[in-house]
Amino acid sequence: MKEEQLKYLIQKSTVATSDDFTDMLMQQLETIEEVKPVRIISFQKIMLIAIAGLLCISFVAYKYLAPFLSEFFGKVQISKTPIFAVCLLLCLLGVNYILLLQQSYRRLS
Amino acid sequence: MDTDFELIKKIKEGDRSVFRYLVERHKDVSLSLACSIVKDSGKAEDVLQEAFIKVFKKLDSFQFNAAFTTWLYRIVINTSYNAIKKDKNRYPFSQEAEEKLQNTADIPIDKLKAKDQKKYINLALEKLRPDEALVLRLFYLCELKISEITESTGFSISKIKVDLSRGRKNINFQLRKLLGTEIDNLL
Repeated sequence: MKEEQLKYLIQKSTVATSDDFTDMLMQQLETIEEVKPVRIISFQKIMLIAIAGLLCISFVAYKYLAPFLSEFFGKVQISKTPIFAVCLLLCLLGVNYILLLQQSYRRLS
Repeated sequence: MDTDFELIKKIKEGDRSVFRYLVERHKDVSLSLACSIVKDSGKAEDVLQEAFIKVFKKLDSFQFNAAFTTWLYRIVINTSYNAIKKDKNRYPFSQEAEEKLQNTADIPIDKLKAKDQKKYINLALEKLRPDEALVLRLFYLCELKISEITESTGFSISKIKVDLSRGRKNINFQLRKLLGTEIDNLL
């Protein structure tokens, strides 16, 4: 078979797509554009960053606010029990929030 | 009529609906390339959908220093090879092709000549190895140069030359096997 004859035959072999090919593709692309990918950051990373941030804040607060606070608490007499209760409550709420975050993180990933 | 580059510029500027024209322009040749590898027109259409989605997503990274078709064909070819890698239990030659062959074997050639020339040529191409059929189509249908085929497929120049040579011989053999002396009516 000659080169030109083969070219003629191969050019005849073009396969046509189904009629709705382009419509279906464009529909798929619209769906892809609507659903924007959610960026998921590792839960452990968030926890580490949060703990590091808290430690930094505590350190700064201890370093710069301690003289004012000791002066303030020296003047004002507050019972320790309600402070502990409030701290405990805040801790419990914090732990609860972290557990909820972890749950939703697992669901998303 | 806008060139591929003009259409891509419009898409990059935000007119996403223009992508339709790009698809319409290249879908048939791209499907033929996918068929060369996947050997099943239904599956090839799925592969092509996947390939066009990849093209759409990557269009922002497309540089205008190469032909769009070379880039498009590379994505279509890679997606097709990935698809057959996933489908490990496929036959070396498609079962679909065998069935079509049996269905058309008893039809007189004079009837086939007008109606099913395309079908016969595609059956012969389906019987070739994926690389051979692909290189034949890239060379004769897409009219790419060997250097452009290298860019699209990642094959070496020597492999392309070997595949072209084997492909020419094998398609001739397959067509003669299918049609006998009636092959001359096709030409």
